[in-house]
Amino acid sequence: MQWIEFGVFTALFLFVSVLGFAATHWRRAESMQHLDEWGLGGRKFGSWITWFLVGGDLYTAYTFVAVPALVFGAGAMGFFALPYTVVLYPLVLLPLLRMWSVSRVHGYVTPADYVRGRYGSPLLATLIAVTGIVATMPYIALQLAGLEAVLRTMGLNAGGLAGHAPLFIAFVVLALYTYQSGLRAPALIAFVKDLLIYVVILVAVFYLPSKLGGWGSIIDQSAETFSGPDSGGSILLGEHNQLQYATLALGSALALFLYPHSLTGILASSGRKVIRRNMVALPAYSFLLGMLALLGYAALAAGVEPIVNGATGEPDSNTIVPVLFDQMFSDWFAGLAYAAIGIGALVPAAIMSIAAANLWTRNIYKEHLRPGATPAQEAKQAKLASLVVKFGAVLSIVFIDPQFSIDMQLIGGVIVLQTLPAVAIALYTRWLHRWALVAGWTVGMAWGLWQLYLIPKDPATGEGHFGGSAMPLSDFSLFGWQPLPDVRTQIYVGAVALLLNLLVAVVLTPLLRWFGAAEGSDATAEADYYATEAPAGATEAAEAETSGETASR
Amino acid sequence: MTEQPMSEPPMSEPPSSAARARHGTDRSPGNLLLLVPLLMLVTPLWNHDEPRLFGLPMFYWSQFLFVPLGVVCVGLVVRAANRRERAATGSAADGTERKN
Repeated sequence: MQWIEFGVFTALFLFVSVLGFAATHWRRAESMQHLDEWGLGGRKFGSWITWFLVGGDLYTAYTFVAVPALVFGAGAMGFFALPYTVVLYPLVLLPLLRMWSVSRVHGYVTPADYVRGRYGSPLLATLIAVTGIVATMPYIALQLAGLEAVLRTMGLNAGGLAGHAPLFIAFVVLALYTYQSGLRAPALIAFVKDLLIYVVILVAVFYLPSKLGGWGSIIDQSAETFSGPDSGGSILLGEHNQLQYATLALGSALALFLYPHSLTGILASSGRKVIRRNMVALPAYSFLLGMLALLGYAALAAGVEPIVNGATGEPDSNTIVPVLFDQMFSDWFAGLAYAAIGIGALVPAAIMSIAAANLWTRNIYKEHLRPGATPAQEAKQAKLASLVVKFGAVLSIVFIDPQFSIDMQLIGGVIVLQTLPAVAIALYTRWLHRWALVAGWTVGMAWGLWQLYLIPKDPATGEGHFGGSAMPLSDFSLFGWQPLPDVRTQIYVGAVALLLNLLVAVVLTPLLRWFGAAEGSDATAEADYYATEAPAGATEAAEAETSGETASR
Repeated sequence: MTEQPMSEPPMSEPPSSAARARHGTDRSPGNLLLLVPLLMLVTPLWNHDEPRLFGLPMFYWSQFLFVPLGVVCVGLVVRAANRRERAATGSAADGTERKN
């Protein structure tokens, strides 16, 4: 048991818990009994708060332990996280501005709300909401895996249920203050988390090379380790994985803001200017992430051995960064680093559970179960749903092999990408027919899942499923026809699934029009997409519009 | 994304109020700058070991250089957009950044 590390970690954890409970009084509205207050912090966060909040939301604890772990195991391929977070902002800048404006005018809280308004199709909106919830749940479970990696490194590495107790306690505390304070809690805690992360990483990237003989020697030692017989890594990309690297980076970038929790941070901001400024300022985190990725090599050069997980009996590669800090730094600084990672798990887990709760409340509860729900009932329902979501995530970590949550996360990226035509393309054109979008979603989803299932866990023996997100082009087949039988180049499954999805949607649209299938009503007008403020009396109008019952009476 | 013909005046002039009514302040040929960072996805450009910088192979340091490049491209587009929006809404644009 590492007492000093544990002491520093616990002290900081208690500090942010107090912040989380106090956050309910921060920039308080007259009434918290509205989903805009609990689920979007009142839609009035300025540039700084948004920067910390979205930064804390996108660059999660899991990223901080998993990206270096990937570099540790595979080398250059793990570095895709950097191009992913660099091409992200130029791609999403303009669509996000349109999304913010139209959501502000119509009072939308979730991407499915928008789809509901744009296409007048409850089915399509429900599909988008369910996709969002299914993709977000394993993401929350992964934050737990990141937190657990830190706890186990500090010596809380028991087997069985007792081994999960610290995680359980941490999550009960998190669940309670999220229930009380809503989005204000992670927004306030994100300040502490990000300051800790910046200090820890900057110290690490300058101090570690000086101890390990400089980056040149670290990279050379890593290259030597990779040249061993049973290693699959390399410090440069190889012949077959360059397309995979580019499509994985691009596909992940396109998928990120389709995740409901990323959009939550954007919709909570006070204006278009805030979003614009943040698209310029957020890459500071990307720089940090790139440096973190390099720590994977530092761990290789330092000869770090991953800790054996007391619950599963297998080495957990997510522990390499915590172990590296334990080996190279004094106990109190390692404790600081662990607190940074641990709190880094709490912030996104809170935002994700809020986003999933918003989806449940707005697009399933209010749409199908209780159409006339008042704003106060919505807020209550969302708070309860956030508890259910978090305990679901804890149970999945306790009772299901953690490896399963990593598989699920892999699937999550592929499936959330299938909502791109209905959410992102819809921001620009309503040309695609709503039933064509449903069909495209179905095809992309089915093909993507099937393809991921076919990827063997163990490439040597070809056994198991969900072993990765890359497939060789030679495996691509349409009803048995293989257009590229001899190409060994790897590609990201999500990118191919999205292309199929778009293809189906584009081909079916003119056909459906020709058969005269109903278009559905569009509640949005072109001017809504660049509005800088909600029109006066917008809240009441939006309420009437989303609760179709009242509007039609 | 260009379902309507590009009929705006160049970035430097404020667009006519009629053009604004149709497209808002987001559209501008200057937005094409946003495509520049996508060069980062062309892996053969930088998938090399030499030359090294601070001991890092080109693969790593050149990708780090794309971070500021992306910031500059997005930054230029954002500055132009803020200027257009300010011209369009006058001092009311500051109202969106209410402190409360």
